[in-house]
Amino acid sequence: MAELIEYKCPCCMGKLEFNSQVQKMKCPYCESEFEVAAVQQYNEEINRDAQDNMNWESPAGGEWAGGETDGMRVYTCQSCGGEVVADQTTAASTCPYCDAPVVMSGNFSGDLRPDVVIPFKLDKEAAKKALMKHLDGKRLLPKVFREQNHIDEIKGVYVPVWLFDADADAHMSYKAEKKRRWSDNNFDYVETSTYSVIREGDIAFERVPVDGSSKMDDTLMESIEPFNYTDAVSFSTAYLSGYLADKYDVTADQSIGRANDRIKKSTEQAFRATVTGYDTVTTERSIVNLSNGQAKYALYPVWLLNTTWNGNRYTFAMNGQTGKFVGDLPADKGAAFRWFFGITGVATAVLFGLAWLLGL
Amino acid sequence: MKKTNIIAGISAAVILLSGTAFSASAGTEYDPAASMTAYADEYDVDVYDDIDEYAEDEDSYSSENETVVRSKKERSNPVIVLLIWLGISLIIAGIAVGSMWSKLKTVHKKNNAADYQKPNSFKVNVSRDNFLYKKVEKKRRANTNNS
Repeated sequence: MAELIEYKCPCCMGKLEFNSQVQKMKCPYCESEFEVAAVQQYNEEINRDAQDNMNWESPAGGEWAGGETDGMRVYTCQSCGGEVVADQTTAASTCPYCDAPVVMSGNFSGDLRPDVVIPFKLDKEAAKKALMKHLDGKRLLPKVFREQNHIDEIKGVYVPVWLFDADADAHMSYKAEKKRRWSDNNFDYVETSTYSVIREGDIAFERVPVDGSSKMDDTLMESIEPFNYTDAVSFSTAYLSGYLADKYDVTADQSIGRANDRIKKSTEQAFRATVTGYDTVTTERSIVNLSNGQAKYALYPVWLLNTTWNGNRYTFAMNGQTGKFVGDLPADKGAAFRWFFGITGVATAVLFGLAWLLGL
Repeated sequence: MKKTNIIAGISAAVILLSGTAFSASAGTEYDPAASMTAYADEYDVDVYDDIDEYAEDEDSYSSENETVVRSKKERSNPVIVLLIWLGISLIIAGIAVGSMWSKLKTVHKKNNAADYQKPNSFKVNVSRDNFLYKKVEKKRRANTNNS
């Protein structure tokens, strides 16, 4: 049975007809004319199956060897319910995430064994210095907050992360426009040339991290990226000595969505950067297929500090490897008003004085 | 990029408001030709001949002309000028305090995985730019010739 083929107008999506007089496809609705080959290619693009295929295999983590966890204790937070792990030489008294008291709930057991760990490179003194530097130069930071910060409560925590590797195969289509402008005595003209732009190709990503702890704020963890994976070593419980380690409570399967989002975004940005020479570019279709997707279970070193001020909790984090320090700070609204009106007053006086002197 | 935009924005605002300040300070738009014509009508003298004489002595001419402009400007309303500079200062203060406020926020979501792209892994296998159609729009120009 013959199949009726319809071609859609790239301009208004109306049904195109072949015009024998001009030997082109012509839209009866918007009267645009197109070359037959261009219309065929355009319609092939819009009829292509537009499904992302982002499947993963995530056999991350390993099995604990017999006796490997014997010296590890689990502490449970009385407030947020989180569990942290410490070796028997490290006493945990408060939760690194919410600062509430923790109690030892037993010996560590179960769960997956991390594949790799990035050991702490920076010590507590470095974290204290970084915090002081972080507070410096913030004119709107309340003085009381600076004076009351509990700098000694900074804790070193190994945060569980899932690391995703994948090869992305992308198919992108864009509608792009070039504009040419000119004028004569009576009219201004704008000529808009529209193109269908296709890009296909591959890009690979390795070790895209996703936070595996529900207690650790994902945005905070992403803010202290990147970690340098070249320092990663095979996991050993010896690295936990003197630090706390969080147990993952978000599985690799649950974390895949976030990894997909970041990989897709980067893939789109990489291909979009190849579309040049146009005045406007609109993405019409973005299909990203992932292959060779794999996940690893890792522990990343983070210095954490929680503090409460005016009833709000503030958490600061430092990358225990690179020293990148982040944490939102409260603003003193009174100071903001004072600065605003002070700058306004001074600027008005200076500008008015200058204008007067210059005779403006 | 962000700083450049801010500086460009401030510059544009200052230039725009400075222009407005000048116009407002003058009270009415100053037209030297009209002013001289009115003067000539009133005192029955040929102003343009006088200017030609002045033009022979260039320093004298420009000095006289600037005096006319300055005297016009000196008649500006200081309250209006002050209000305009106050407006500019409010914008400057807003940008400065906004910048201070933004320094307090350092926690940001990372939306891409650019840090984790495998080196030399990006390959474009198909790159096609197909011309589809062309459209020309025309707009009648504003008639600048009033005569």
